[in-house]
Amino acid sequence: MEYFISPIDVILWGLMGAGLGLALSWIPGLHVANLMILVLYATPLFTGGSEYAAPYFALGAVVAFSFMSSIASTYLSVSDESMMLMLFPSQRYLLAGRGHRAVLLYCIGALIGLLFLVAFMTTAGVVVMPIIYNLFSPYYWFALLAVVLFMFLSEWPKEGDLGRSGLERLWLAWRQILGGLLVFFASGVLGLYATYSGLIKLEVSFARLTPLFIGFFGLPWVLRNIISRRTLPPQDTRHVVETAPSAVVNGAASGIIGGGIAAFFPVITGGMGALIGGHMASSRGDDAFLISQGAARAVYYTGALFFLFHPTMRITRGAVAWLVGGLYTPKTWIEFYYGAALIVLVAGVSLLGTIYMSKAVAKLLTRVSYAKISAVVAVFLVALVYYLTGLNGLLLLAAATAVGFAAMVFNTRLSYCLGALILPVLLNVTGYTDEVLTVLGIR
Amino acid sequence: MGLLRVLAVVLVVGGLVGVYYAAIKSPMPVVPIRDLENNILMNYATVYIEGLVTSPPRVDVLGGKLRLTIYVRDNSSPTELPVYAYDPLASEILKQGVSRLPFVGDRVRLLVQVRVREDFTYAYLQDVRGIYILSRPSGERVYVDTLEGVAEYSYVCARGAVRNPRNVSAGLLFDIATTRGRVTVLVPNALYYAYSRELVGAVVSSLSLPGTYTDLCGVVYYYRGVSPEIVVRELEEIRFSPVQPVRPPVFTVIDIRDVPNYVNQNVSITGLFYAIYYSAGTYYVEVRSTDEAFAVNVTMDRAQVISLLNPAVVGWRSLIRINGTVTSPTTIRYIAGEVLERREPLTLTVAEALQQPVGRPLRILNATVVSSSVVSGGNWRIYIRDASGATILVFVPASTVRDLGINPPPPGSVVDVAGYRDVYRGEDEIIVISREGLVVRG
Amino acid sequence: MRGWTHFFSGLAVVTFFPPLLADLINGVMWPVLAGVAAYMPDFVDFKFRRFLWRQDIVADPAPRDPRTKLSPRRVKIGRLSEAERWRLYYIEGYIERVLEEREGFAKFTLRDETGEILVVARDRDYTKLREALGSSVEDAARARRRVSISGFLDIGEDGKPYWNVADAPHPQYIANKVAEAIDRAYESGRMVTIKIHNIRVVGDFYRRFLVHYDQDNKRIVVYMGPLVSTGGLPLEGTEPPEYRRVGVAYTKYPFRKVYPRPTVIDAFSGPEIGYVKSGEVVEEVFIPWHRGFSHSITASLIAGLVVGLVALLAGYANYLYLAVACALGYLAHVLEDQLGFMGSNLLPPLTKKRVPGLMLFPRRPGLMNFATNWLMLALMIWNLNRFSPQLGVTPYKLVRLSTIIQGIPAHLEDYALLGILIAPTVLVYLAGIIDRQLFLREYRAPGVEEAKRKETVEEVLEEVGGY
Repeated sequence: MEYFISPIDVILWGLMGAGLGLALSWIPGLHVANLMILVLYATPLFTGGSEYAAPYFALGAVVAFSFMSSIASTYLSVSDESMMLMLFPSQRYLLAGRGHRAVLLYCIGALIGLLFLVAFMTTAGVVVMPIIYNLFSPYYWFALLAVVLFMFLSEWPKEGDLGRSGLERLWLAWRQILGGLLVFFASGVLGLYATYSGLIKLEVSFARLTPLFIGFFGLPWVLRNIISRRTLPPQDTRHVVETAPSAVVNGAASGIIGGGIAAFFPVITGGMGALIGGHMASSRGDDAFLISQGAARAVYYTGALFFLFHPTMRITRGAVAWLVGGLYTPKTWIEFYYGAALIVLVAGVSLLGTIYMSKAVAKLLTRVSYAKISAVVAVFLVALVYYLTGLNGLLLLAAATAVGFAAMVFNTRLSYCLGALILPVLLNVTGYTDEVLTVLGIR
Repeated sequence: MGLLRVLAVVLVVGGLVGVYYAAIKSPMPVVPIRDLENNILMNYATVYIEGLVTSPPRVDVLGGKLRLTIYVRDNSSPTELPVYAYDPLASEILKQGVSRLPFVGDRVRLLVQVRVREDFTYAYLQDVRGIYILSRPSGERVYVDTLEGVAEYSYVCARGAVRNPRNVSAGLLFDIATTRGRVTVLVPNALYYAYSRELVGAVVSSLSLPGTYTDLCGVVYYYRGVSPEIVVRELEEIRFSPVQPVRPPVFTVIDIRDVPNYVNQNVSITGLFYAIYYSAGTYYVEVRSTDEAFAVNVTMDRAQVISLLNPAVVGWRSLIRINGTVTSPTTIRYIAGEVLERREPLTLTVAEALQQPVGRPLRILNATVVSSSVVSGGNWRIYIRDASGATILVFVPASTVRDLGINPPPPGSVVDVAGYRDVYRGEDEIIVISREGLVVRG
Repeated sequence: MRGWTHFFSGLAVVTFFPPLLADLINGVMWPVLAGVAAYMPDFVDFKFRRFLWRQDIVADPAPRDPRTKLSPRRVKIGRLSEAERWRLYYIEGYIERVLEEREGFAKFTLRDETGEILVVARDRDYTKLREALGSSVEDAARARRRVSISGFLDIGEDGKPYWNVADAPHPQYIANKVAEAIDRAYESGRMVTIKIHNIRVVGDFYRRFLVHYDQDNKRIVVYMGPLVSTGGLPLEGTEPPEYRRVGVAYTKYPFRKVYPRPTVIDAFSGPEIGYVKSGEVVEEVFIPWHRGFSHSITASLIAGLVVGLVALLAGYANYLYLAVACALGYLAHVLEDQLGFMGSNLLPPLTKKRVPGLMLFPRRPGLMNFATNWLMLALMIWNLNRFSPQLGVTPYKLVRLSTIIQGIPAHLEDYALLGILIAPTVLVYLAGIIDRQLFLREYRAPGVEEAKRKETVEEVLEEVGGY
């Protein structure tokens, strides 16, 4: 029997993709989809017969990304506790000199998540997934709206304590929630403009949301670093973690549930899924949280792409899957099982790569000024946006940065910036796109 | 900190205003379809396309929602781009009538969002106001007797008697017998959703009656590139006599239990499709009142039964309307009819089917053929068994065998069967009367 | 139960109503309100009631700097008064005169633009002061360096005020306030609520303190503890020195201690505690604004009514189904909370007393939460499966047990499927009953009280994790 691709090719291409992922995923604000787009835009790498390799290249990149992005969220996302009333656990660890441990916990979660993903998809998933898909697919948008509503409903007003009268306290608390609404709808409007107007040149319409996402998630941390004026304490880079088996199980379970939900339902992202997963598995504690983040992100990104490999279930999830699926969609069970094996291989490689990268970054950060690194990355991101999308892209970047900044200032969830993706979809499925686009002046 | 918040709000509003002004000065471009096809970097791009609609609009019901499909071609590429609209957009478009519905022969500009898969490209309509109908075939009423040599997408009219009406997946297809031959006409199913139920019902019932004289206009379309047909665009373009406009046929609407009082009159009743019986060349369809207390039999011929109440499609207890003439206190002769609320065919196991009373329309899925034989007259007798362990006879009359056009399924093949229950010479059987009633799966 | 569990229950209720499902398929999103309704009881409590609840007495032992949101903040010497005694601030200025300095003790005066005050540093506080100054007090005075010194105002034996160098407030302040609240509750006969702010310092650490109710001696004892992280882990070496570790205040009236342990205040945002006279003693009501009317069956009926009216006025065709679904979703929340410890008053105004909860699985609340989530998922799958054909989603039911398992007749297959799907939850609930019996036998009433307190704290703590 002839196969389109041999195991050697799978491994080679997969490792190449992993290499790309490991090399670039530490940059904050840069999504793995952007990486893939850059590759496909800049080089005709997958033409003339090597289309069959594209899914494996992407799989390698995505798995590597799931691990390596922890570097960005741990080391390059510093904040002052005065700026934010609640620090992320990874930031707390960093400020206590234990950033490396945060990365290790994250990687443990990611590894467990991926092993579970592979085990499930190649066994029970074969039978269960098509049933779940057929039952729930008419209700995707219901699920999306429900999750967004839950995010708003469950937000914890952090400043409500500080008022002197009941009404003042109420205002202070709700100010944060209103800030969240502002962020959500402002980002939604930006998403509508980016999608439905001619601001972004047609040839780069695949990158129409890139300026927005870099503006929401990449640049504000630069601003935070500048305002923060904090110096990093020396980091302990020994390979030590402090956690308990129960926290590992709990964290991994909540991350797997969350990542699974995010992978299965369109538009729902890993962060949103992790919120739900955490509630379902009653996750508590910084260590469990970090493990769950790792598991959620790994299962989300990798799971979403891995659905593409499933021969009997036609699910295409996420920008990477759409990109790669357009080149070539795996069709046979052999390709599916190759993919499963590759995930395990690249997970191991990425784990090692991430651990060593973490040590390197930790050492680097205490030697080089934080502000300098921020500035370099900021210049890179702005240049990237300009290269891809021109002046209009920079305009969108500026507007998006303002929104990301507002999220920071109002102490509200940065995830609300996903409104850029969510609002256009919700309008579409409820049939209100027309009216809104008219109000926005682009109809 | 308060200052920062104010600053943040100001920056956000300022950013949005800036983007607004830039956006209104950047109109969305029109893109040649060739640039979209197989271009993965175009995935999810929202663009305008401009071209010719090359097929009649078609509505399917998928997963409980409507899906509208049209095909568009421009000069940049020989292929046609499929463009879809799902509910709620599909219903919104159809509710606005044909004025907003891209129709075959129209030149349109459409705002669509592109999807590029490995081997084909398609697009989704984004909103109603993103549909611009730039030009549409129209003109004076030019009558043709035949469509031979008539250019595609031209607007023509035809008149004559309706012949051979049949329901196809695209809508209602029938011929008009003109002085020089026959002209095929399609009423696309999209129109069923664009007009009121009463008007659609009236028009469709009339056109379903062979012999009705009709006068209509529409756009010429070559099905599969070779068979020309007139596709009706507006139901108002259909007339039923040379001079008068559409007049709904007169059937007095009554309750089933009043049928005995209307002998020899034309009535219209609504009820539940309950059973099919056959005797001496005529089918008797039992229709019961919604409380199942009263029943009448409707006499129909085979073609009428298959056309209205195909057991593979229309399930037991579907709500139907029957227009016909009362021939006895318990019988109505069928003239026209409509399925008001279709129920899925009753899906049972063989064991359950054996328990059903005579006449019950039902369906059995994934049964295995135990034996099959051809008997005198060209009828088929097939015994099937399924997971319930029971076996039943499936009887396929020769008329259905002719429609099927396949060989009898050999033992071991897996089949789906839809028909009605009967007992012949003491043996339980299922009678398959329509082509869709026997599907061989493997 | 976590918030999502309640919300999810509301979504599961929607799946029982095919007309609502049909609407969802077609992009009409009204039914999502059932999930919102299911979340409402906690939403009302945590986003409204909590802030509007009257705070009769406010105990803020270490006021925060409005810009940095941390303690201590600066106080000008001229502003110090009796009301500020024992509260943690920092003063900033120049050291005027050093009166005494030796190992473990320093006494000097500090002047800022509004006045001058005597400053005393003792034991470890003296050591920390030297570290902060980077030199001895003498040297700092001579160098005329501007210094910041954290501490609290105290009154010496001679009746004169002085600044006590410290990194935590004196617990006496808190003890006094709590005693005041108890006394006022007794005298006024109605509930008196005290708001005790927590103490947040640099590095996202919190100063832990404990309020102990010594009912036998009618005294409130407050212990000032170490710094802890948000996870509750203490930071080594941050325990306050002996002399300012304990504060004791006596109440005029008796009170009853219900919760067996001290009330701990650290990272969890400072609690509101209500004191109310019950008979001849004052009782503590922890977080009094939680689980009131909002957690009742009456409220669920009102919720359904309100939603139904709004939907009707807005022209939603299935407003009646929606009203029922919302009422049931809200009710699901109330009932799920009844599975725990606190319980609620279920039918106000007809009933007045709180119905205690069923107390299932006291030792594994996380498992109960997960099992309830599973139940809701199972119900969704069950409903979506049996309604798919009539909604036109699939031509026939996807899971037909009668075709998979020989023994199951077709008319019972749905029930069989339901049984299989909810079996894990039923098993967990049954195990929960057994655990409850064992727990009660071992821990009895004090254990129940502790579990109730833990449940409240968990619910409020959840709001802390609002990432």
